[in-house]
Amino acid sequence: MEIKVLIADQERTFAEALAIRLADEEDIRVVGAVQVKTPDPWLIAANSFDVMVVDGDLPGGGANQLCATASSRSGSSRVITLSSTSEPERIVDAIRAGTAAWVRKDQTLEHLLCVIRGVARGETWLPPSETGNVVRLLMQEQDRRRENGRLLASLTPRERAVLTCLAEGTGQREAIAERLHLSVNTVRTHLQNIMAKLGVHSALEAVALTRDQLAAEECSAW
Amino acid sequence: MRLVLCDDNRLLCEALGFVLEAHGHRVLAIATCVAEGIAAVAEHRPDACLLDLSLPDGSGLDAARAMRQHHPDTKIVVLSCLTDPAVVSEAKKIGVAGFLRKDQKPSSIVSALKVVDAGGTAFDPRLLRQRGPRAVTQSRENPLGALTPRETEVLRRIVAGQSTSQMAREMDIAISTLRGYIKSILAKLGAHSRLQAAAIASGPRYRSVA
Repeated sequence: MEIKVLIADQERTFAEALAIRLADEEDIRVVGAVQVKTPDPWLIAANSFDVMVVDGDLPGGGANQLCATASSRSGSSRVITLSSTSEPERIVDAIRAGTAAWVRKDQTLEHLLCVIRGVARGETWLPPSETGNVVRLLMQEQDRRRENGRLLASLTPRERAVLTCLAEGTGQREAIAERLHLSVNTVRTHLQNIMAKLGVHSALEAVALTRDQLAAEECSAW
Repeated sequence: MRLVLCDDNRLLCEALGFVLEAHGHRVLAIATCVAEGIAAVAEHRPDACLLDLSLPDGSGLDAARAMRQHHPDTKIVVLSCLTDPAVVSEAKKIGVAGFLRKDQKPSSIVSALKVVDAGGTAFDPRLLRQRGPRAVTQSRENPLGALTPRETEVLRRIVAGQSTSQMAREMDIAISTLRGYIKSILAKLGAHSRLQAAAIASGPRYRSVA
């Protein structure tokens, strides 16, 4: 089986040298080697590939955006994230965006070839030294999400709407009142109830606690 | 040429080494840090060393200095994504034979090595042309990029919902210092409140329409 590989890296020299090296393998065809500075969704749309090797060190989490675009596409496109480091928190973020593998750039090419072939077969590859930490983080996150989901579910629809205003940066009672067509007093009551139900002392804390959950539920509502 | 490649991105070293060998060069060793690079040059006495500047255990400029001092026959060609004119002129002062950027195609590195092999120097012409840094335009595109590391740390804590006293305690700084950071963050992000700053930092989903 031939594996079609797309390479996207912020360093052109690396992207193209890697393309030349990979093309030397009989079972690999490089469909593109692109220098990227910011995530370009057309990169994914314009290329047909089985495996994308993406630069995990793109500024502003760009790799995860590319990754999410690639994995939301129908078919079996898989992503390998390359990075100079391997903090478990970053790996977890990449996994959430849909990456199938995390490979440090100080690994050998032999290893990268192994991962490309493995990922094309449907495997997942993480640095063995970090796998334990990654699994632990994912489990903690799941527990927290369940707990936060329970808290969020205890809010009334109106309270939720007020919380969403806070998450979007609208903090003044007057501004929230205007947005939701409520009286300022009503907003004050909602705010008090939100903080009491969530067990927090400030609007900022309330947002920090529920931000991910709110975002996730909004996504699934679409 | 007989070469030593030194870059913490081993994948780059191996891939570029493959290209260079296809053009008749020989890669004697690959090093991924300053210490390994200096040791490899001492051991192999290569004709040239392709050297990255951002290495995990120090600056490639220090490596270049040591190599020039102990093995003056080895020509040093810097291959870096750094393009700061001060760095380029410092490298020149040390006596490197070339300074190449990592955003060019591999074949231009092959051509540059040919020039160096013939006794010439290979400095990316774009590096010599550029003037001052472009920090201003960069910060306009990405306001988060304009924050200092300390401010970024404070913003991260704001997003996590920490209170002023909690931040001051954990960062071990005075509350007045902290307020200074926060004021500066709000100004750089164009935010009116911490809540708004947190919304900006959390990404486009929560960026208010106003």
